[in-house]
Amino acid sequence: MPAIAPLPPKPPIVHVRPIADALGDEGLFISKAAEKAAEHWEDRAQWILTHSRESDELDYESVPLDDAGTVRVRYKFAGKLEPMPYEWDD
Amino acid sequence: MTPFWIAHQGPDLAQGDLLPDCLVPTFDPQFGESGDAETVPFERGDLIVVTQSCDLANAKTRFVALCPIFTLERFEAFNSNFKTKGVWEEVRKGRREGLHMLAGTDEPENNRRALIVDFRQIYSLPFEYLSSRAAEIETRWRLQSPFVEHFSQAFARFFMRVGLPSAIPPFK
Repeated sequence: MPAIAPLPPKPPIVHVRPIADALGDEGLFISKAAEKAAEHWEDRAQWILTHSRESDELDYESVPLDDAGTVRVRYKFAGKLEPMPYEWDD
Repeated sequence: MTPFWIAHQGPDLAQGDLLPDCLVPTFDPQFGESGDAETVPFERGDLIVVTQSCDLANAKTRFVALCPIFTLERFEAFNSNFKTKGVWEEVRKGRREGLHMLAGTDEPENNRRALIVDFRQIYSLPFEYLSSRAAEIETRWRLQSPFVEHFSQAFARFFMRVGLPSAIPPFK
């Protein structure tokens, strides 16, 4: 019987609203501090989610090189591979 | 910030040499069997040398091992999960198997200009081809010490890893 896969975790939605009525230097200060706090919590949430995933989920696909063309070749048997000279370093 | 790269000129090769636009032929599984002329496709990519410098300097190898190197943008185009905040930081700290991050050749302090080496893809190209390719490039980039040793160690750690059939359960 097929099982329902759990939904992937999502970062919590953080709503921080600046105080609309706050004006002047103090209002600006509060508004900037709230913005900074929201950014901080969003970063933390994303970091925690990234770390909570299994390493397999963060696997990657190797990036292919760019196709650059083709060349016509005729293969020629150049002999069996021979060992390279091996020098002793005494 | 100590630069990762130094500008270099000439045909000599060393571990950590960045060689842009190298051509890599890809062979059909039946290549060479017919005896007739065949069409071989080739790809172009930026590669970094992983063969040890001492082997290259003493001409102890006919073929040179290289890994592909990409910009973050190019890598993200194929791996959108790497756009998630925190993933590149894991790579930067050397915690992502198979990947190694190097500072960009220009703007090294801008981490978005960093470069990513994929150790899973290893190409082997003839020494003479790479040497002539290196000579063609007016000024190229060479990874300098101790960054080249750090890079070499990361490659060695990846290559020597051992997969176990089972593991001790993690402590949570």
